Order: sequence, then C-alpha cells, then structure tokens
Amino acid sequence: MAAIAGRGPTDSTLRVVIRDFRLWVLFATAALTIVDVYLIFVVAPTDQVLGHIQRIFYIHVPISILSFLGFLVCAVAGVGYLIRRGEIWDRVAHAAAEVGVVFVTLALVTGVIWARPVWGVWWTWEPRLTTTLILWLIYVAYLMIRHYAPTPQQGRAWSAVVGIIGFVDVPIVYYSVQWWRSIHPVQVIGPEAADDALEPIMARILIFSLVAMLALFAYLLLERVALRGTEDAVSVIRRQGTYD
Amino acid sequence: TVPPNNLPFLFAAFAVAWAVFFIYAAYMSWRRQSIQRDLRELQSTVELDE
Repeated sequence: MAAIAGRGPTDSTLRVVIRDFRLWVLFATAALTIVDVYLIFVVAPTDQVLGHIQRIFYIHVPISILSFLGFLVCAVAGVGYLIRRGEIWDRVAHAAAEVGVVFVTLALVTGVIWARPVWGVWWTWEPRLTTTLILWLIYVAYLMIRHYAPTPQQGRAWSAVVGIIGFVDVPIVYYSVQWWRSIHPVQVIGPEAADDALEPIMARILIFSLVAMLALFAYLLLERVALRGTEDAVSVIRRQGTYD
Repeated sequence: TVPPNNLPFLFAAFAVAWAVFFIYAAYMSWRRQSIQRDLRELQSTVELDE
C-alpha cells in the first residue's frame, strides 16, 4: 500500500503524458495506414510476373522486419533485466516478445497465403520458412516459460535467458536464403540486399509501409507495457491482502 | 509466373493481418480497463478495511 500511497504528482503527470503519447501514436498509425493502403492498392505498380498478389509484399516484409525488431528489444531488455533486475526491463522484454510473436505469426500467415498461388503449396520445408517457424516456436516457449515457471522471479530470469539466446535465430532467418538452397526470394532490404533489388517506386512504398507498421508496432508495444504495469499493480495489492 | 486470378489471396492476406492487429489491440485495451476496475475495487477494499 505504501507504494501506492507514495505516488506523487510527478508520477501521475508522467502517466498522463505516456497515455496521451500512446493516443497520438494510435492516431498517427491510423493516418499512416490509410495512406499506406492507398499507395499499395492504387499507386504501386503491378508486378509483371506475379500480378496483383505481389502487393502482399508491402505488408509481409515490414511485418517480418518488425518481428525481428521486437525480438531485438526483448533480448536487449532481457540483458538489462539480468544486470539491473529492474521491473521496467522485464516489462519491456515481456511486451516486446509478445508483440514480436504476433508479428512473426502474421509474417508466417501472410507468407503462406502468398505461397499458395505462387509456389502451388501452402507450406514447404525450405530454409527461410523453417527457420522462421523455429523463431516462432522459440518465442512462444518464452511466453510459456513466463506463465508456467514455479515463481514469477524464476519466470523472469529464465525467460530473459531464452529471449537472449533465441535472438541468435534472427540473423539465421535473414541469411538463410544465402546459406542454403532456397526457393524464397532473396533479400530486398538490409545489408545483403542488392542496390537495384526493387524498382524505385516499389522501394519508396515499401519504406512508407515500414514506417506505418513501425507506428503500429510502437503503439502495440506501449499498450502492452501499460497493461503489464496494471497487472503488476493488481498482483502487488493482492499479495499485500494475503500477507498483511 | 502465376495465374492472374489471385485477388482472393491478396485480400485474404490483408484482411487477416489487419483483423489480428485490431483484435490484439482491442483485447489489450479492454483487459487493461477491466484490470483497472479491479484495481480500484481492491484499493477501496484495502482502504475501507484486531
């Protein structure tokens, strides 16, 4: 109770600022998304070989990249938690892992929907798809460890270790199309992408889609961190009700 | 090269992606408000109540 009674005006002001910032991010996400849909369906040229199905590219690639970002944030926050044992590090790591799992799930789903008309199959055990599925399994395991660990402290520490080690799979996913024989297209963005991998108009729309998705990612991450904070506040009061 | 009639796949991919994002965001918002209600009740219980 002392922790709650001790909250000063600075803390409540900070919470209002964060809540307002979250709303602004939500409005920005909505506006960017509307423009993005217009760019993807009207402005973007139709691919000569694939036809209209290629437009999935403008959400499939940003979603995949942002799942990597989620797992990077999770790994960095996990290191922060193991060093500092601060509650905020754990909240950010947990939120980033959960949002990352949502994004990587959608990367797999949009990829599967794209694969059916292009490859003729929903799924094939080729390197990019397989390593991405392994990435999904690693971070689902991360969330399960948090939930089923004997104590919350053990759950936080164990999941931080899994989040750090699991991130090793991210560069493996990125480079898988070069390291092994793959039917997945090669990189169009990042250090291994060729300069002329995309037509300029397609590259510009891809970057805009990435910015729109980044705003959505930021909103979901902020919302999840806020939810974790509320969950923690309730569990503190429940514990005090039990032991006082 | 793929057959041109693949628009259902295109719209399905966009619909699934945006539906999942919307449901996830709405669920988090609803759950946070629900927990905040619990929090207020718990706080009032502790304050009201050897």
